[in-house]
Amino acid sequence: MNEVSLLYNFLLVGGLLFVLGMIGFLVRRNMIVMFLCAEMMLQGVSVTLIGFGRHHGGLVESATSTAASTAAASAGPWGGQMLVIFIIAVAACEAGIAMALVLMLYRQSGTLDAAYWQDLREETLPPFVDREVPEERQEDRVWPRLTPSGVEPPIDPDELLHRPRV
Amino acid sequence: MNERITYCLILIPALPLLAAVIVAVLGPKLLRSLSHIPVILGLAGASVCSLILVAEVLREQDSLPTDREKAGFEQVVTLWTWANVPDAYNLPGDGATLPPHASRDVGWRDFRIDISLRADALTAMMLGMVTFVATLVAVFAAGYMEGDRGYWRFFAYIGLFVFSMTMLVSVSNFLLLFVFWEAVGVCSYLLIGFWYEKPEAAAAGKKAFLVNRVGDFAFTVAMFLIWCTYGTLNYHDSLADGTTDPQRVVAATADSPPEQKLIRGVLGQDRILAGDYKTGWLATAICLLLLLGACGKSAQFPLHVWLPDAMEGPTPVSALIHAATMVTAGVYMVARCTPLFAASPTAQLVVAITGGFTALLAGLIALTQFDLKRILAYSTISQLGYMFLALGAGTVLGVTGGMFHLFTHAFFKALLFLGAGSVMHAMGGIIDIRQFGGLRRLMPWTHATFLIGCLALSGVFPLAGFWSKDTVLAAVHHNAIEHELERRVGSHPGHPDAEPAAPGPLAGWTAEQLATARLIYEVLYYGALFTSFLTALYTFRAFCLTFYGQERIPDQAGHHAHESPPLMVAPLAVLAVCSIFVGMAFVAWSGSWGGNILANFLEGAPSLAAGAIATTKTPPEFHLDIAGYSTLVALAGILSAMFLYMGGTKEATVLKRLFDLQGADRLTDPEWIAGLERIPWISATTKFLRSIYLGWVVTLVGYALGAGSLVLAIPLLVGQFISPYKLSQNKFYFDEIYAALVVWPLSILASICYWIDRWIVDGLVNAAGMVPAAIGSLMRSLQMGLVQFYALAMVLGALVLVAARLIWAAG
Amino acid sequence: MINQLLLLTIFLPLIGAVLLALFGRASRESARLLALCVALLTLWCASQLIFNFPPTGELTAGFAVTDIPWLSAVAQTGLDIRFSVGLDGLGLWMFGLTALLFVTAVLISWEAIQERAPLFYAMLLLLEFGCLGVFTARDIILFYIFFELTLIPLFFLIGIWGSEERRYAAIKFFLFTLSGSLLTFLGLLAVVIWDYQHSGTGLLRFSIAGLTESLQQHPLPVNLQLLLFAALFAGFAIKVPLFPLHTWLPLAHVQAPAAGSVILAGVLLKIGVYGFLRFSLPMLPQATAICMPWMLWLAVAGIVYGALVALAQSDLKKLIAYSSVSHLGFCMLGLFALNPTGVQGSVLQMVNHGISTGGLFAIVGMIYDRYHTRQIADLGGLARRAPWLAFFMVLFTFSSIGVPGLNGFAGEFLILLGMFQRAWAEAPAALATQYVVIAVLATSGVVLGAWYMLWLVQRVFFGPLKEPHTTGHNDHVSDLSLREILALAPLAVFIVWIGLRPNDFLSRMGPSLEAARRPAAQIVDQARSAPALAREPINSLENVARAR
Repeated sequence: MNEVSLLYNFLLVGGLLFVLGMIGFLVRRNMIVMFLCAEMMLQGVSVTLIGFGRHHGGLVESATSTAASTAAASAGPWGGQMLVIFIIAVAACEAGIAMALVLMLYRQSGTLDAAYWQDLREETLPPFVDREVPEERQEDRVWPRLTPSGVEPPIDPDELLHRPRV
Repeated sequence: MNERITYCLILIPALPLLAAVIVAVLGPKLLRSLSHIPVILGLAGASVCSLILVAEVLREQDSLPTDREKAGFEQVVTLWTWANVPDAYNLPGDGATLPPHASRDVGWRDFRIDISLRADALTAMMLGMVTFVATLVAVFAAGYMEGDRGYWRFFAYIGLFVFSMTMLVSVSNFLLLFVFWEAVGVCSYLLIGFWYEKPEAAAAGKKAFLVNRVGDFAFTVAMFLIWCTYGTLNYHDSLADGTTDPQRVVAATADSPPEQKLIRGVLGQDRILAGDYKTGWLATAICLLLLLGACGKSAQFPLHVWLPDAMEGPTPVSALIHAATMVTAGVYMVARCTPLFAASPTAQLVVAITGGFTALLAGLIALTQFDLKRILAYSTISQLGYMFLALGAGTVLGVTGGMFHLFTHAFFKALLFLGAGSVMHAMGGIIDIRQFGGLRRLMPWTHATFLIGCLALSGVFPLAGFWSKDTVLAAVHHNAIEHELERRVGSHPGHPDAEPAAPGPLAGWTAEQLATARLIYEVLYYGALFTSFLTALYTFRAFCLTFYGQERIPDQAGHHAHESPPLMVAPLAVLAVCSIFVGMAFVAWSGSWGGNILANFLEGAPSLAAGAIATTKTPPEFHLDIAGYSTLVALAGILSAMFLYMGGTKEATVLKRLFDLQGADRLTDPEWIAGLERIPWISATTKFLRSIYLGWVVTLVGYALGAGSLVLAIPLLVGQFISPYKLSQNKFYFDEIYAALVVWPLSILASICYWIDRWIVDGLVNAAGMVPAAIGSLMRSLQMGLVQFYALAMVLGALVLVAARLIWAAG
Repeated sequence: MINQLLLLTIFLPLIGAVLLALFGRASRESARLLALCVALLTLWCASQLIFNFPPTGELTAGFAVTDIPWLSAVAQTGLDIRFSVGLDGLGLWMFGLTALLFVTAVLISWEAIQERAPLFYAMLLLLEFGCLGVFTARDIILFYIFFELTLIPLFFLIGIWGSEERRYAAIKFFLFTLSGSLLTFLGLLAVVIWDYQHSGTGLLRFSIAGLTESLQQHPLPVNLQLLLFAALFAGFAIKVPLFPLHTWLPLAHVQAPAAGSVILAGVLLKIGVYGFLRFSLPMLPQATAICMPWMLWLAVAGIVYGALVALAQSDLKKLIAYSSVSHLGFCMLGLFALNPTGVQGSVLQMVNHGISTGGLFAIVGMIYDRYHTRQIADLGGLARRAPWLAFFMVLFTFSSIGVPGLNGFAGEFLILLGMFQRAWAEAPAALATQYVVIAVLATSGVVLGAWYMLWLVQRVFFGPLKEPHTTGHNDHVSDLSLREILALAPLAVFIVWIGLRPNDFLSRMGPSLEAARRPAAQIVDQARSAPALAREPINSLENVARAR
């Protein structure tokens, strides 16, 4: 019983991570964030794997001798953890490839917006266009002014609080 | 087996064919304007061979042992097997009701067609006539077609045609008859459309072929019926392996091995002697279908419309094909199938009615035509009607009379056509009699021969036409119905050596049926007499308008306007001599006034020697009364024509005034009715009543017809609304009627079918083709191009799968 | 020796196609010369085979048979697909006709195909390979492979070298035919599986002869037969083309190049009839007997409908295409009359139609080469300009409409006689009237056939000369060249030969056709009642006299 509730906790955490990742992947438009959510899905799966590994690892002697269980038996209680190592390695490779792809896409388009890439759409369907975003306010930029040469600039009294010489 | 007959039978078709092939191969480059030589030589050779054949057949017939005499003489020569489908049809037996010798003839039949030629009296006569006339026409054509671009082509076609025609009368099988039947149709198509650049000629050729095809359709169905009824298409008796040797055929019994089984030919001696023909509606159906086929070929009503148009071809073609040979094929076929027709007196009656009606119809049309060749064409149709009328009389005299008329007609009609050709040649291609006249001084030879031809056609003693027409009329007058009635009463008094006739196919008819039939034959007889009057009238109309009156030569004649060269006049002279002497010679040499050596010759053919038809044989007698009436009628016609058309006036349309019945109104209308007549329905009603009234007037004058006078009212009624002249001139609007009833509906139907094909049948196919595209367009709306949308789809799909798995596991 | 000759004959065109494809950049002249040589060599080999075929048609063990295990795994799974080819009476004359028509096809494409000629001839030879294989295959998989193989080259031929709407026509033709033949394949597989389950040999065998024999001993249940008949019908009827499924034909013919039309009309359409004869009749006799009235009605509808629509055409090729529909209706009519005369007439008519319609399409190709138009309204009086062309046209027209003395008559007459005999004397009482109506309607088809063909000839060849203005060089239009005469002359020779001596051709086919037709015919013949008329005693005069 204890084991099962422990398993539940693992699965809960893992499931939570997975679901968060999935929702994030579906909702966010920033490619890097989408990738991070995909990684999060993977980590959620890893957690569940560890939980299951630990859960099933103790039950090895009651299993039947099929090819799968002998493989699990040879891993002992560490089967889940081994698979997680595999997943991390694969995730790392995938990260490399994904980042490369994102980089190329950014270079082509100048934006990390996944919704920019709609070229494979059916010709008869209308394009996906964001709602109107409000115009950026052109704030007046304040450029620093240099004092004319040969004149000592006015001293800001606040600065004297922080520094000995201004 | 007579060797000479075999050689003749093979040579007669082979020589023209060889000539045609030589001209076709060597003609274009080598022979060119000498192309007529091989063909004339070939035809002359065939003519000589056919004379030898006639002599041999005559000799064989005379030397038959008396017990075989009853069956006539025939000799069959087999060349090769055309088709053989083993065990094609199981001819059912009839159990115990069959007489023993007929039980040899049942069981499984092969569909076997051998190319077999036969020699008997009918064939020999036809061959002699065809080859002789063809030779003369070829000689004429050598002069007529001189300088034509297609000279060699013409003679090649002529050779091919004569080959087909000689084979048609020589073959001993219905299917082969059909083969050459259509082959002459093809040659006719090629020859009518010889000047193919003329659109009328091409159209006329197509029309001729198509109308013939309709007749061939009927012939084909008749052949199928014959096959299914009699189990063979051969005329002659043979064994299953194709042997035709008479001794071996007779020796076959019911126990012979299968390949030696007897196959009794449809017109074979065995079957005729036994009288084994189906009667009843089946026999009538077969005969009527055969008749329809013959009508197509011989241009009888209702398939007569092609012959006048066929005059677009060169005149020698008209002389050969449409006067002497091809159109006689139908008559030949009906004469050949006499045993079949004898089994069905109803069919014989229909044959007679068809012939008589067509004769009258064509005669009426010929009265008002202006094209000399068309007049002769309608005359041909009319004379062919006479031949069918004679064949339909149902007696041996009828059949031999019809064939006799065929024989003499070939000569004088060919003469008339060649004479017309001579005139046309001189007039530069014009044949409209309104445009020339008074040519007797310009073309004396043509004039003389044409006159002889006209006299022969009108049936003036002692030219050929008189004897043959007299025989025809006699046959109609003393027809099979009369014989049957005499038989029922007793044998004919006054001929003590005549035996009481055996019961014939009319034995089953009741007295009322016999009386009706007899009445019909009487009407036909009087119709034939009237047609003789018309014949003389229109023939001499044409003659007078062409050769008498003021001499007019059209401008197109140019330097052609002179008598034809000797090459063209010589055949005319030969044919004229034949037309004078042929009939007389046959009658004179027979030793008695009523006899006829041609008839005696033909009675030796198996079709006429035995069987039901032979019971109608009567001793030859000369019917002075019939001869008198026909001469009277002919003279009346000639004199009327001379009265109307001779004498220097342009009277080509005088009949128009006579027959417009314009004056008839004044017989019946007082002045005050004339005002009312302007209202159409009153005018129509009065015309209707007037015609009935006139009908009764004529009845009272003619008394004999009694209540049948209402029949007379019909032409008078029609005449009130349409001028009979116009009806006659427009050929009774047959072409227009056929166009409206047959041609136009078919083309509408064709357009409808095409529309259905494009929009409905093909529409269904295209609709089936659009289904995948339609389904696809539903699917396509899923492709948004957005990665996240795809990911959503994946997630949803995975959810569905998981849910399904859970439900399946739970349920 | 003969066996190898058959293999050689079948594979020669394939070798030729491969050679052409390899030396693809060769010039047009060398490509067409190579194609002609290959076609002539194939023709010579085929004629040798035909001459050596037993003249009475009696075959004890098949003729020129090659029987090699191919995709067989007999020991493990019982699968027994063999590469098995041989000639018998059914396919003999079609085999010869194929070899002959391809020579004509190559000759008429001589000048007409300007671009990508090596590919064209390669496709043509590949098509010949497929056609030859179809008529000699004795194994179902092999048959199907060749059957489908004929579609692909023709798809390319139409699609690349065709007329304006060639893409559409090629796709429609391909998809329509393919969809039917897939259903046919399913049906054939069903037959094979049935045999595997019920014959007790443990072999999943595909041999046609073996399956036929086994099905005659253990027939399929009637419902299954009907279903399989429908499946086989789908593919073969589309190919024939039988009446409602014919609409691909006019389009394909009009858009195809001349050589494609010649082969399509001359050979490919017959594959459908051959399929019925080879598979439906012997293997599914009860279904054939039950479906006989329907098939006859469809056939006669095709005859009359095809003729009527041909009457309304203004395009030369379309008219002849619809005439093909009409003539193949005759073939189907004769086939389903199930008579010796009908079936032999049907197979003879297959050959006849191939020759005459192949010739007609060749002539249309020649007209198109000269005038670049197919519209009848643009042409007239061509006999003046090209008399030899007119001669051949008239000859082929007469052959097509069944003028006796030429080949068309022999076939048509046998078919109509067979149908009439079935209707009059060999039909059950309930169907006799229908069959008589069918027979009479079919016979009227000869009148209609004469009508539209003669009208065509009259409009195009006779009358005053009328040529289209578009070419602008009508004075250089010439009569037939030697090459074109050589393309048409062999066909003309056969037209006359078959017309004068059809027995030379019928005798070799007879026994095989009898064997194919007998199972179904026996069922139909048993069902017939005694024909009412034949049972009547002959009312001979003697009988009448005796009765009095």
